[in-house]
Amino acid sequence: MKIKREFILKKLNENTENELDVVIAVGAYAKNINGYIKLNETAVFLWNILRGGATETELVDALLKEYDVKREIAEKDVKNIIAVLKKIGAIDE
Amino acid sequence: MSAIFYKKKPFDIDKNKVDCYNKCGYCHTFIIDMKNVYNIANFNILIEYKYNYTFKFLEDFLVRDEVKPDFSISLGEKDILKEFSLSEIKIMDVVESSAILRKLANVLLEKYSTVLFHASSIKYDDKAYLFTAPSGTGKSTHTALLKKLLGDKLKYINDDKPFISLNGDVLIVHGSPWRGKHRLGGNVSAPLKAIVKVVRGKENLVKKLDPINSLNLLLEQAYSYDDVEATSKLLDIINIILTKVDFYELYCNMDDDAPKVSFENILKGEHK
Repeated sequence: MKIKREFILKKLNENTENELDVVIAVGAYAKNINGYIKLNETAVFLWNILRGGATETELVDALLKEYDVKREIAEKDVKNIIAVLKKIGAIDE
Repeated sequence: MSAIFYKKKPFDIDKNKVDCYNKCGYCHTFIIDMKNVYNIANFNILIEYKYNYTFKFLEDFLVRDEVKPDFSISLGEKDILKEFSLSEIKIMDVVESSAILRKLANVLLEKYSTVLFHASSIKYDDKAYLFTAPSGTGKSTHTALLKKLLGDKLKYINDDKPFISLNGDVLIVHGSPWRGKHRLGGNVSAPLKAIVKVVRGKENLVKKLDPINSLNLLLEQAYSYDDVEATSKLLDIINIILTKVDFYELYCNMDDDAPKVSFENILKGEHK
């Protein structure tokens, strides 16, 4: 799985209390998102890996390596985030 | 000068449109290949076009002296076809000026950190203010009332599509030929001080606009760039606008007090 390049992630208001990580879609994909989507820290972490391409298992392993979290939780989080990204059409299988 | 009346033939619609653009004089007084330099957003731009409508449209920004242009804009077949399909008005001269805007907006963003916004923009006390709202909500009505209140102290920058450039870390608002049906504004510039979201309300009231809604506002009113690189640059500039500019929400009914409230709370000196 890989993130389509028409989906852009940006960090806004960095180092302020209003810091925000947003995803915007370009061109024909713009209608898939209503304005933008806000990502939390975990989602940003996974997004950056997905940019280069990864399987679900690789994503879970990366989470476990980086964060102190149980495998079941990591698997659930990865599944949830993949579902959202697929729903907005951001993923190339 | 060539104005040929062109008979429509029932084949290849795309080719037909291109021929229509290049040769047909049916809808227009004349078509001539024109090349002039215009000063827009602080750049000297050589623009090539064909229609008299476009000439009149751009006229106030024409540079009559000999200058070396910073860059040039010309339209290809693809540009015309794309604009024709996107345009509500299927008449070639309107399509031409829209296509020029699209090309210009993309070059200005790609190379010169300049974005295009949909807003009514005014200059007061050497600072620029943008009034934004969905079409028909009353942003132009409001700036017209402000103009009535403040007279010559207020100048229009652009009533419809101003450019905003980022120079170093200074944001400057510039006029453009795309300035609404009353053609308000001209080649005027000023540093951007505040952006105001105009909302219809029972009472006239000004509030600060929170960061999330400020972001929504900017995304909604920014010109839509189809290119990934351009959109990425747009977001970078939006990020800077969010940190440097004051954002307000202006609730207003259409009565005569509305501009006073807006003037007292936004344009005048100390901001709350």
